[in-house]
Amino acid sequence: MEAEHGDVWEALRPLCARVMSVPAETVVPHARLVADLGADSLDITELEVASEEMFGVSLRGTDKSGVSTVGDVADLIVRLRAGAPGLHSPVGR
Amino acid sequence: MGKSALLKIPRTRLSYADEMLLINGCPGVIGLAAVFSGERPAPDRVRARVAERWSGLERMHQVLDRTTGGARWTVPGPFDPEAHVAVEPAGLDELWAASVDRPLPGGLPPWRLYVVPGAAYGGDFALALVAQHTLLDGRSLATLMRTLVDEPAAARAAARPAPVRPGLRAAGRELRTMTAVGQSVPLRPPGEARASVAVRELDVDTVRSARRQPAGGRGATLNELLVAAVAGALRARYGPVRDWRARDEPVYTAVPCDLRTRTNTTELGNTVTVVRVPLPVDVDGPVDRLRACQAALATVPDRAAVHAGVLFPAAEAVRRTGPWVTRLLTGRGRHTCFAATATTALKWPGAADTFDGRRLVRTVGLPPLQRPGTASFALAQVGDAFTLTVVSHLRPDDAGRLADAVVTEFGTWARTTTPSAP
Repeated sequence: MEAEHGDVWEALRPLCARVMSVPAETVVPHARLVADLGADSLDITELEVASEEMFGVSLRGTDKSGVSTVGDVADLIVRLRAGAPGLHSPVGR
Repeated sequence: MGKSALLKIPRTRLSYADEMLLINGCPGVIGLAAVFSGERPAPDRVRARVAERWSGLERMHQVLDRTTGGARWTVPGPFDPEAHVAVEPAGLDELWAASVDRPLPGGLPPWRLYVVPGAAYGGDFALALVAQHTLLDGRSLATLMRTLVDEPAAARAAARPAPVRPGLRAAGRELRTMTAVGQSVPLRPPGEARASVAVRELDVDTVRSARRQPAGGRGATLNELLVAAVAGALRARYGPVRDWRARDEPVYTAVPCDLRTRTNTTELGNTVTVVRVPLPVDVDGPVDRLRACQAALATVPDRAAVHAGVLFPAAEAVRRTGPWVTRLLTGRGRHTCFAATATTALKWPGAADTFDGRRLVRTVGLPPLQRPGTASFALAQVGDAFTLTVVSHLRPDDAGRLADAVVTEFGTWARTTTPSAP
């Protein structure tokens, strides 16, 4: 699980930097997507679409609470890849 | 061009959105300027880039034909870069002021690209695209400007997935919301409304601090901050709504929503709807106003889906009955569906674009001039550069006063360290 988390993080970090147009060094696990990285709704949608293609899991759904940082997104992707049921879209608009 | 020649040219019906924008009684001019640092390129270099990148886009060749009853799009020939790309020596502020209330002349495709020399807003020159809204929406302007840079990025995969068709109950609810009576911004002191334009740079640290509000939450998007700041600016300038002309009528802002999906991300035209959102002018405190705006804006995607899935198709069907239907709907909109303001946030993806090696440093929008008693706000972002443009149809220079009030709201959020609890 730890190794997979590391792999996800390595791929997610440059993805977030590109989507949100921020330097990669600002993308740290505790960085909040909206408050710290300035994500807007289009950024969030692009992140979801790109994550589907990159990680093979769908982040889109109905639950928009509970996930606000980049680390939260990485955790969610790892859990989805492990097959955790009942997980839905992570981020608020 | 003679009438016989025109008859041979295919004529395309305007979309419902195009037609509403054509007959709404407003000048309908919008713009987007990209400000670069470095030596100004020769106009012919810009013309060559425009010819290279835009010649293949049919929308850029379209001319509005109103010669035979009703309006149609025609393509009498390719656009001429000599006619469409010009130098505007006066400067960007002057270009915006001169453009906002003057529709582009007929006969040519209704857009122009200006090469604007002179330092402005942290750069050395600007490329400013001005167009009739009937031809292009704001997203189209951004798409076009992004195709002019040296290495255009692939279209964002950000476009929303195709919306699920909403139910009739949701459509009825949205129709009632859309037709609820709203009021205009008061003219103080009383007098004739005049067009005015103001541009302000926002400090990056101030914006960064502001978007961390409300404390303890996910933060606020640029769009949420803008709408809430406009509510605060109106309150600062005109007082609580109970002191306005129509004390019982709410104050709304119009929020444009892009309706493009993944299959038509770069489509040019008017693929947009406008959702009215109540402005919390009477809510005390900037952080509480921000919370109220976040709650109201959270409903916008679903409401826009109702527009795209039910209301637009229904309007198109009714419109086939006759052109008078659109005029009736537009006239009703003028009187009841009034939005006192319009608010748009534009984020330029990426931050390292160049034109002939000159670095992009900022974008500056020009939102449309609406009816008397209104103001339009556009907040544009490129990397760490945030630029606010206000176009008002109020008292002379009200655009500047409202712009300053919006900047003050951002400053207040930035200084707020212990906001009130939710």
